[in-house]
Amino acid sequence: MDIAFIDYLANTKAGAMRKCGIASKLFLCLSCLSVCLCARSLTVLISVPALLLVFNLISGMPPCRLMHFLFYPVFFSLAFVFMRLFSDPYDAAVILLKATASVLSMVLLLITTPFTDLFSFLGAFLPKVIVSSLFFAYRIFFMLLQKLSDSLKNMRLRGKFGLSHSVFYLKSIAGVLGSVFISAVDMSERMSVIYAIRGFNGRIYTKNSWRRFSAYDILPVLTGIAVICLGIFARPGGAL
Amino acid sequence: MNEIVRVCCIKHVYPDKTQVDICGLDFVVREGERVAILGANGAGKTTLLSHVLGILAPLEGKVEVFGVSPSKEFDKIRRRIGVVFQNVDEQLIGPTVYDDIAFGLRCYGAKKAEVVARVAEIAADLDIEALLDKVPHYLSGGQKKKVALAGAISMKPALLILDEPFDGLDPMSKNDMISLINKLNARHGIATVITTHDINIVPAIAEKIYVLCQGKIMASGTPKQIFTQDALLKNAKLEAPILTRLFCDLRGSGVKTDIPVGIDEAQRLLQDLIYPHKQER
Repeated sequence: MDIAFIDYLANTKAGAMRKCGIASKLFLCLSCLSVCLCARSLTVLISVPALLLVFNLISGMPPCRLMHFLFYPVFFSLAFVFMRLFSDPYDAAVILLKATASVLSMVLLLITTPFTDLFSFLGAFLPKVIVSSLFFAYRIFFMLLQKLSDSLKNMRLRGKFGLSHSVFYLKSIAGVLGSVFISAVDMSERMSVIYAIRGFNGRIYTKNSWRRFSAYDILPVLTGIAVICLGIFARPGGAL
Repeated sequence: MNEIVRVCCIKHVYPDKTQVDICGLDFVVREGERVAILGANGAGKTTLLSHVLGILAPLEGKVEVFGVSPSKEFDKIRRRIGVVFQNVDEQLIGPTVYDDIAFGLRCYGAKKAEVVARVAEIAADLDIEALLDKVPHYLSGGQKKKVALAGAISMKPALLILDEPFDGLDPMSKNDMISLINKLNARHGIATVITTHDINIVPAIAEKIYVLCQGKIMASGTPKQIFTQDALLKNAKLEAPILTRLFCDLRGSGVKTDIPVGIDEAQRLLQDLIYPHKQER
């Protein structure tokens, strides 16, 4: 999963959604997320992801990459549906659409908002220690993914990757995960020192104040309100 | 020149019970000085730097940076220290290069105009203006090191610590980094402490060298003083720069010449050897 690409989109592309304040974008994404998680109506569960899909595409997200990001939730929700032995096609569709909507809303938020803006906003409401932990976790996640991918490549090169070595493979995977975990602890210690030297005090300061509102904020706020209304007035199973 | 760092005979025990005693000579850095720490792998270079940065607290001995103990009063000195670690990915914080350089300035409460001016000044100094809008993940190794250096000097530190800054760089990027570090030292008087095992570049980046071997500071002196001591270097599992070795061999075979440590000096000596009559005139 190329998370660095999300960062790239958030920081290099232009567009109306990137000119909005973080508060209005968060309002839109959270309203879509909460409406979809609570909804049982197929109208809502189809229209909200469709709306989010359009927002994602006009925000510069390439369709192929979006498919890539959608693969994980779709795969796991399908696995969940199969585990329930096809109890009801309607339930299966609801689960699948809820998972898709959740991913689309989070991807929209992340591709249009630099992560420092997001953590700066969270820092205004959450305790320093939680914001610092989330910030560190986000930074370390990139490096650990790289490390994990390097270790897996290494395993493959050394020939212990595949069905014929399945027991050994599982053992090796456990070893790799253990070493990645130890690296994460080490890395977080080093990073805390580096961040302290660079002036980090638990708060993140960015060029964009989250209190800033402009005409661009009208679109996500109105869309968010419309989604909430749709969620309230829609009936389970079908039409409004 | 005032002393800004002094490390006296420190002892540290790692969790796996490995004991490192950095004893022998005192490690001293003065204002504006360019210092290199040389040593083979496991000699204690990173342990020494970790003590100077307050990451480790010594069990015995004394560490003073700007007159205070870094492990106890780090907040008092952190603004005056810049650091670039070996793995620069860990220290690139901002989502863009601009934000990364501005990170420290914003944290310390600099005004917006001040941030803009300072970032522009640093970017011009390090010749990275074209990178300001880029995302750090997609930069090359050399560019990442430059950005990390830019972030480290944003607060105008008096002491810049660089742990293996030339590791993994191609020759061009290495030369770029060397000239950048020297420019910062000459222009802003920043004292630099660099650890490296790339002996050939040391004469270009340091006027004072500390040689570490198995935790002991075995010697200190100018590049010339250190690199002409063959036995010392062998003990420390190091080799003299290729130029020094070449001229030592020439001297061994009867040629009357001085021992150079840098390219300029070697060029001058070679000219003297090839055209001796010019020197006489």
